[in-house]
Amino acid sequence: MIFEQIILHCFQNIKAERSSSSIYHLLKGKRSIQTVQDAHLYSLGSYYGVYKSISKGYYDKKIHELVKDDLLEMVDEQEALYHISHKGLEWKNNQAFPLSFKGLLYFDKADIFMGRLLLLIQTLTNSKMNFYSFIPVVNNPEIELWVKHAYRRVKGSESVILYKIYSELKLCLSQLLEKEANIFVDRLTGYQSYGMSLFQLSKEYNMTVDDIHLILISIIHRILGDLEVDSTKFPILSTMVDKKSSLSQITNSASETYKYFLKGLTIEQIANVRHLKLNTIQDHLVEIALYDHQFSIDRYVNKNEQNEILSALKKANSHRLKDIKKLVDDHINYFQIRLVLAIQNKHNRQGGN
Amino acid sequence: MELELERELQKHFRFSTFRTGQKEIIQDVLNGNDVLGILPTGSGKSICYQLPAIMMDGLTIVVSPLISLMMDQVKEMKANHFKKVIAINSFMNFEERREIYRNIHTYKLLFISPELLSQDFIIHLLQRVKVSLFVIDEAHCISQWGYEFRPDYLKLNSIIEKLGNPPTLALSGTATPEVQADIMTSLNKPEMIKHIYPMDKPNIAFCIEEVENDQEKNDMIIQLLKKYNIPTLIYFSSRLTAESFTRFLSEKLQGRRVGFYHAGMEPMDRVMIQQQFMNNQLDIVCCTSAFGMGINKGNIRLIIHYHIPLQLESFIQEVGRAGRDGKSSVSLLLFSKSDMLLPNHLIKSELPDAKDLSNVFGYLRDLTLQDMDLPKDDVQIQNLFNLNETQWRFLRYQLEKHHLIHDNKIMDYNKTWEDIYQSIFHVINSRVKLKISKLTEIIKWIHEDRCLRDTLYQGFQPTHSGAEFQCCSNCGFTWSEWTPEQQEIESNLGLNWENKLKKLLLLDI
Repeated sequence: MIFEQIILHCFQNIKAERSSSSIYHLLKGKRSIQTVQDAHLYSLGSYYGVYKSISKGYYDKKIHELVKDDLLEMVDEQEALYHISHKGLEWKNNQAFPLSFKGLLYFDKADIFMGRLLLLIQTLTNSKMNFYSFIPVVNNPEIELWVKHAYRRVKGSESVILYKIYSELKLCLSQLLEKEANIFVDRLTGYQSYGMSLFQLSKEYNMTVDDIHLILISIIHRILGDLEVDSTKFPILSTMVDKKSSLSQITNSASETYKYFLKGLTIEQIANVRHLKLNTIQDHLVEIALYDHQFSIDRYVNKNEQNEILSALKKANSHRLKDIKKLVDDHINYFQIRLVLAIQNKHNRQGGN
Repeated sequence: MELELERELQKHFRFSTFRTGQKEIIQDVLNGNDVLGILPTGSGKSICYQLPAIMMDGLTIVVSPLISLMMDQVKEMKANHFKKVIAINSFMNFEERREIYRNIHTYKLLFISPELLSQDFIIHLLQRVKVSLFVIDEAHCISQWGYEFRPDYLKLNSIIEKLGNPPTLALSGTATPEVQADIMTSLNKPEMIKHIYPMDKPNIAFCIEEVENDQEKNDMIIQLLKKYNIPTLIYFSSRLTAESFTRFLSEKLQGRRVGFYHAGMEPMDRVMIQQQFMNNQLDIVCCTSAFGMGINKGNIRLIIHYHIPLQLESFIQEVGRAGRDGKSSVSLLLFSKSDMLLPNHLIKSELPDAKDLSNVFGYLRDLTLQDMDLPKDDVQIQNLFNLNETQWRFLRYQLEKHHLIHDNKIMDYNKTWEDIYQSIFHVINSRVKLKISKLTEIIKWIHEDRCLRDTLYQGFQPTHSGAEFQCCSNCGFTWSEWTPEQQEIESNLGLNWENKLKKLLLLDI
């Protein structure tokens, strides 16, 4: 029921100001600035990208079920707006929610870390048994390359490294519930012992496949958190964390736009030089406003307009662009509103959420 | 030369002797001949091109119809330390593909789909390297009269020509004499050396049971599996039933390890299930026809068909996965009267119908009148026309063949459109007819009174070598006389996670 709780939590926070697909994009970790901004705006950053493999069809089916069970209420069919129902709220608040996520911080790192860990354990255990024709469980060229390099460094001392992995994992897993630790260990693959599929885990632990997936993701996020707090305790596991920081920095395309911005080009000029649409350049600027503390939006929205938008935001008590737009002067456009929301939200936000 | 081949086999695959047919085919291939090889499932078809690929200079191209099949082969070869192998597919991103194109001369073996192979830039790329061998895997896909016709296979003869006519090897597991002839005609190689080997399996008993409904099927399967703890595959015609039956089985059979497998699963889960089964960590797999190709497990004892397969060819292939170790194994096919309707529906879903066709034509006409092109993305087109992948692949080929579309350009609207429509409509009708006659064939076999072994193989080969153990349900098969060796389950039950982790990491508990 963890999955249902998360969906309801999301609907509760967005207060029917965003469509149902916005939550789909959030769980999926869509790399659009709108989705990232929403994640911050509605304090849902922890769930960003926690369910990348979900399909739209399956998500819609789930929403439909929640509506049928009276846990969600439809507000507007055309715009696909829903609100958590009274019953839904009650149900959700009565459930224990033991999991924590750090989606915005780890949505990318989690997959890479788990992939490297799985494949390294599989490689080392097989190599220790002198068995060199195993089928790797991870099929990702970048991860394979990483493991290949890592393996070269430790070849010959497999037992030592395996023991270290054991001690470090034990340190992390001891902090979890017994059941969680078991799920995590059952997912691992070793010499002539392949890990359990999500479906098999769901049978073994009597949970839905969705929840098993989410528990695994949450465990990985918590392990990554432990590693960040004190990496010296985890010399081996720490090497498996991808050093690139993912969303904390601006996307390549946006930073390209930023260069032109710093040269003083207008939005139209940048769009021209880069052969991109005006909208795309505007998205980039919103993205930059969201992350770059040096960036001043004054060039696009003057102080008076900023104040007008801020008071409209208060009055509307909503983050829906449409609602805000209605309350400001006609000449103020959506781009300007988004810029103000971006920096507004930067002030509110602390850390990675 | 003879001993040398065995030495190479030992060196690269660690087998000391060839299996039936392999050596003969390989020798002819190495001598530069065109070869048609019909080898039954499980007889190591892939060695027939893997070994020549390793031994010959230049590149061996293998045309394969399924991406999952290609990926499995590449994984297996890499696991066997042959690294100069690659599969190109449409799921690769631009970067990955460019990397391959840049390094094309470093590979010895390339797997590719017929669709990708018919694109000009791929041909240009391959023209830059020396192609030493051109292999067509699952060559029955060439035949219009085959059960798995893939239109793009028909273009292969011109592709072979463009690549400078390298020696060609066509391989299939099941092909009737007509399909064999079709393959040679379509490839324009009437002189191909034929190596045809019988596909009958003397160690498999055939058992067919008619039941009233699914409930009876379920009861019968539970009863059997309670009695026999043996590696078992259960085939279903739909993914959903395979999944729900897995749930049902694991409730009813405590302590037995059950999994499901179909093409809609995540890649990691697919590898896990396949390999668990290979490693005897799983006892029963509920699957669709996607499972099994490329699976090399010797001790599968029982193959159950929960639904009727659409034709004898796929039944023979699926059953052929049992008992590769030569020990006594059983095929059980279950059916009820109501099952007869289901396959008809499946057949129709493989082809566009009259309404689909006229929709597509109307839409194409609108596009030309507005001077517009087709969307570039096939998935987008499929959604637009409300067709599935198989239906659109069929239709695209037909439209291209009549030059009504070329890439995403549409021919101007004119009088010939009506003729093209009629001609495609005619092809659809005859395909449906063919598939229905294939279905009729298997349904007739199911109701057969005579020996099931005789009648199953009669369309494929003149004789068979008889039954080594029990023969079939029409020749007096009884379960009580079947006593295969039971599996012992080694279990992790009762270990806490710390000890499980220690065990997995090979540390002493």
